[in-house]
Amino acid sequence: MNKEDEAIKIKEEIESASREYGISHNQSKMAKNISSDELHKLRNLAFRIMQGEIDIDEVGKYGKQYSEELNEMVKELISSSNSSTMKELEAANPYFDVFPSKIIKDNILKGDDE
Amino acid sequence: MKNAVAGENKQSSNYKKSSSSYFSEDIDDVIKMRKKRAKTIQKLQNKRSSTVFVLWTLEELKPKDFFTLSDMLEEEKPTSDIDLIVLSHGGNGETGYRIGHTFQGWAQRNNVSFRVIIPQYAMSAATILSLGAHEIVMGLPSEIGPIDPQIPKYDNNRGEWRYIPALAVLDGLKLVSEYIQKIPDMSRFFEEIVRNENLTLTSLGLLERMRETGKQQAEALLIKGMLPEEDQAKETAARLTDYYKYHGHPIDAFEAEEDLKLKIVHCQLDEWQMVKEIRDEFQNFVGKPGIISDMVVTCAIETTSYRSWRYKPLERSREYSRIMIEKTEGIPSSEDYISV
Repeated sequence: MNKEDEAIKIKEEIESASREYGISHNQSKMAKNISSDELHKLRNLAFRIMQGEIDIDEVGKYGKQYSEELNEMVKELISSSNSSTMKELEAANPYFDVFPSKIIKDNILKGDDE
Repeated sequence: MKNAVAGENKQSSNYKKSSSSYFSEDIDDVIKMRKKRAKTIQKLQNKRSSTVFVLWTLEELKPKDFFTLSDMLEEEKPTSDIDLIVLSHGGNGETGYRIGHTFQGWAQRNNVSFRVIIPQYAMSAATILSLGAHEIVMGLPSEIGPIDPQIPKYDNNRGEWRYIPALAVLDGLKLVSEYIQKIPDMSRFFEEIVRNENLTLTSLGLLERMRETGKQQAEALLIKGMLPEEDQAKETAARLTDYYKYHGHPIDAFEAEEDLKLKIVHCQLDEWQMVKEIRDEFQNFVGKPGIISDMVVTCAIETTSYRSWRYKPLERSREYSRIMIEKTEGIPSSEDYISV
């Protein structure tokens, strides 16, 4: 597997894992001006809003730029991981962790011309 | 239009397009780190004339780790000696048994040796795994631990399955019942615990059986591996399950050899230096925030040709970072010790 194929593969893996946890790397237009540190803080805030630690009204208090991103994050989290049906299904699933993680043959040392 | 012109190299252009964001720069580093690890693994393979597998996990050992490793074993089809480098604080006992038993069986059928290398710690279920080896390779900082089988339990607060130590639950219940004898009013407290923990008669029975199961698994692996004499295997398994009062008790290479009678290879010099390099490289990748934006790799299973990683969002990975920091704080990089 060449470096670019491998990069694409890893990117897909991360995006798939992100989706599983309700995190999207498709940032909104606004988010392009948000640093990764700010994004991390916003995501923390979104988790706390979703878990009911912080009132949902908080979303509106961070100015247009942050509020839009925060709103998207909360929506994604709610839709993907806070559904009670999904939780019940997960809790009742006796096969929750028997599926192997995907193994990738990256042959990373083959064709190593560096 | 530019995209249409670059049609013959679509994947490449996609990658380059996204490489303007911080996200793809992260991936370049990830690939470099993976390559460095693979090279170090290859160096150790050449030195030990073996096929090296690495199981480096900050999560609880789970059935999926066994299935991933067995997939990798089938792909690699090693016909030389097998070295499995393990870092794990434990988890599902059955998983430890299945990994140990499968690698042991593969090695025996192919007339090769199966060795477990422990750069730092292989506790509880990972100790069961190690008992399947024909020898355990340890250095001065390496440790195994008492066998403390864990049971899966759904954590409603975190919204995910977790493994909890069966013996710790039993000890907790024993403690409460001792209090009840002294203060009968405590019985209400006991009822509340049983209700909150969802402990039914079946689950209580299961906890007790888990203790015996852990012992049996240890015996079975030892008899087919490093302690073929049944009496000694039983004695070692009993000591690992019943003797130690604290489940986190660190058993170093000397105690493992002298008191548990396990076949320990005290790894030194060049080989240990290589093991430490692998340790440093996995430590710099698994559980380390900031390598992949917003995500952390919490489990990596690798050979020179294959890899399998599990990711967690940063928000959920704090405890893995904590485990890593607690277990590794104060451990200098092996580079600090290179003599001149």
